Amino acid sequence: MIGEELKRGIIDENPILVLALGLCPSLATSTSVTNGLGMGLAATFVLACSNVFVSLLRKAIPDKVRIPCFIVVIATFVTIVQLLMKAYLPALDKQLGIFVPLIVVNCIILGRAEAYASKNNIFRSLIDGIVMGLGFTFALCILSVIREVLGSNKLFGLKFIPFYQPMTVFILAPGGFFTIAFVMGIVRHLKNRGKGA
Amino acid sequence: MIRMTVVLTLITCAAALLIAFTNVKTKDKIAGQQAAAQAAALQQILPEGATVTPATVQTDDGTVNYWSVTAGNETYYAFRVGSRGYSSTISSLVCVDTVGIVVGMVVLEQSETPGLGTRVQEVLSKKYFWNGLIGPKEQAAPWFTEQFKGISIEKPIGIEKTKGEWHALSEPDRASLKEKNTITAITGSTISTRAVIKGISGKALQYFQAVRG
Amino acid sequence: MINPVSLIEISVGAVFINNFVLSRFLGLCPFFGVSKKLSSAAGMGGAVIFVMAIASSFTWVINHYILVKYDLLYLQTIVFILVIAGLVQLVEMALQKYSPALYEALGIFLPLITTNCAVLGVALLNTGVNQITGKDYTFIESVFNGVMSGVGFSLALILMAGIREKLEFAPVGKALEGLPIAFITAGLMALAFLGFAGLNFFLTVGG
Repeated sequence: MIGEELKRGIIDENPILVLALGLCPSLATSTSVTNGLGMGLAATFVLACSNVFVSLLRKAIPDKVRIPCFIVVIATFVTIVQLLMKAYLPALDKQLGIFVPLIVVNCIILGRAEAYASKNNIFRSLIDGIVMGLGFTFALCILSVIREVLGSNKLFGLKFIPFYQPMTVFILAPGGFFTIAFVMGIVRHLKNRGKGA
Repeated sequence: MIRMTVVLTLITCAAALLIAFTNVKTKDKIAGQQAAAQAAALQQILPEGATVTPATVQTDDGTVNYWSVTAGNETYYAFRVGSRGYSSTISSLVCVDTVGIVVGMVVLEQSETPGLGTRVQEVLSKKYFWNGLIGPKEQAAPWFTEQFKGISIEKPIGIEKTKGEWHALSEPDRASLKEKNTITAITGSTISTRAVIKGISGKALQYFQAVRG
Repeated sequence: MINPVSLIEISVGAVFINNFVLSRFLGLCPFFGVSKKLSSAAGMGGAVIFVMAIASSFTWVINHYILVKYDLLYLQTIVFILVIAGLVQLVEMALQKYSPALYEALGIFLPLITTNCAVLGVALLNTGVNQITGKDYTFIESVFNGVMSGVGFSLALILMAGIREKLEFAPVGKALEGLPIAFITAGLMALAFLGFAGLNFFLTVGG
C-alpha cells in the first residue's frame, strides 16, 4: 500500500506538475537545489503534521468553521517550522525569505486538509501528507536542478559544467516560468502517450 | 453557534501554547545566531588579534552604532553601511584605520542581479561539483572587497573598467591602481560596483569624520 | 510625514519593477485559474486591490502597535493570516448586505483571495524595510504598497487574460495545451517586465 501511495503522490497526482497546486513557492524557491530541497522538506513537515491534527480533530470541528480551524492548525506548524529554521538553519531561512511563512497559504496544504484529512483516519492522513509532500519536494528538485545548472552553472553551490557560461535568465523570473512549462509539458506528454498508446 | 466559537477558541489557545513553547525553546538560539553572524562578519575584516568594543557616535543621521577596534597599539574603526544598489540595499562592513585607509571590507547583504551584481560577494573557486563535495573547503575571500584594502576613503575612489577584473591582474598593475586610489569594476555591473563605493565613500566617510571629530 | 518621492517609487515599483506575479511569483494560483476570461480577470483584479488595501492597513497597525511593541513577532504569521481571513469574511458579509450589485461582481472571488499568497505576501513585505527611505514602511506607504501591488497583479492578470482568450484559437501542441502554454506566456511577459529592472527616478539611500 505504501508503494502505491508513493507512486500516487510523486507521479500520478504530483501536486505541482499534475495538480498545479503550490505554484508560488515552487517558482520562487527553485533557484537552487539547496533552496528547493529546504522548502520542500519544510512544507512536507507542515503538511504531515497538519494532516494528522486535522484528522485527529475532524469529528470535533463543526463544518461552518472548518476553514478557520484548518488555518489555525496549519499556521501553528508553519510558525514552529519558522522558529526552528531561524534557530538551526538561519542561512536557508534567509534564502527562502517570505516564502517560509507563505507555506501557510500553500494551496496544497489547505487542499489536502479539506479533501483528505478531514475525511480519513489519522494513519492514512499521515501517509497522504508525507507522500504529497515528497511529491512536492521531488518536483521542486527537478525544477531546481534544471534552473541551477542552466542558470548559474552550479549544483549545491559548486561549479558543474566546464567551459559553460550560464544563461542567467533561468534563475530569474522568466526562467522559472519557462522551466515549469516545459517540465509540465513533458510530464503531460508522457502521460498522454501512456494512456493513448 | 456556541459550539463553533468554543471549538475555534480552544484550538486557537492550544495553537498559541504550542507556538509559545517553541518560541521559548528557540529564542536564545535565534538571538545567538544573529550575534554570531555579526561577530563572524567582523572577524573577516579585522586585523589579527583585535579586540572589539561597540560604541556610538552622533552624526547627521542621528546616533550611529559602530565598533572601536584595538589591535596591539593601533586603533581602528568599523562601520556598517548600506547603500542603494541596482535592485536592493547593499549592506557592507568596513574597517578603517585612524587616517581613513581601509583595512578590511566585506559585503554582508545584497539581492542584486544573480550572476552580475551578486558578484560583489563572489568567491572565486576552482572546484567543480564532483571534487567540491569531498575534500577540504576553500577559504578564499571575495576578490571584489579584497581589492579595497589600502584604499583611502577620504580621497575620491576611482573605477577602472578597461584593465579587467582585479583577480586577473598582476602585482604591479594592482599596485599602480592602489596608488591612484582606484578599484576595478565588476564586468557588466557598474551600478552595483558604484553602490558599494557609495556606501564607503558616503556614509562610512561621514561616520568616520564624526568619530574622528 | 508623507514622502511623495517614496510613494511614487513604491507605485512604479509595485506595478512594473517588482510586479507581484511576474517578478515576485506571488498570487500565481488565482493568476492561472482566473485568467481565462477578460471579464472574470477584471473582477478578480478589482477584488484583489480592495482586499490588499484593507489587509495592508489592518496588518500594519496590528504589527506596529501590538506585535513589535510587545515582542510578539513570532506570532506574526498566525495573526496575519487570521486577520486576513476574518477581514475577507466580514467584507463579504458587508457587501452581501449593503451592496448586492458589488457583491455580484466581486463576491465569488473573495474567499479565493484569502488563501492568495499575494495578500499575505504584501502584508509581510510591509513589515520589512522600505528600500527607498532606508527606514520601516510608514502607514501611508504600506497602504500605497498594498493598493499598487494589487494594481500590478490586476495589470498582469488582465494582460494575461487578453492573451489567453486569443490563445484559445491557436494551434498548440497537445502536451502544452492549457497550463504549460500559459506558463510560457507568463514567462515571456516576465521577460518583458524584466526590462523595468533597475528603473529609479530619484537616488536616495546612500546618496
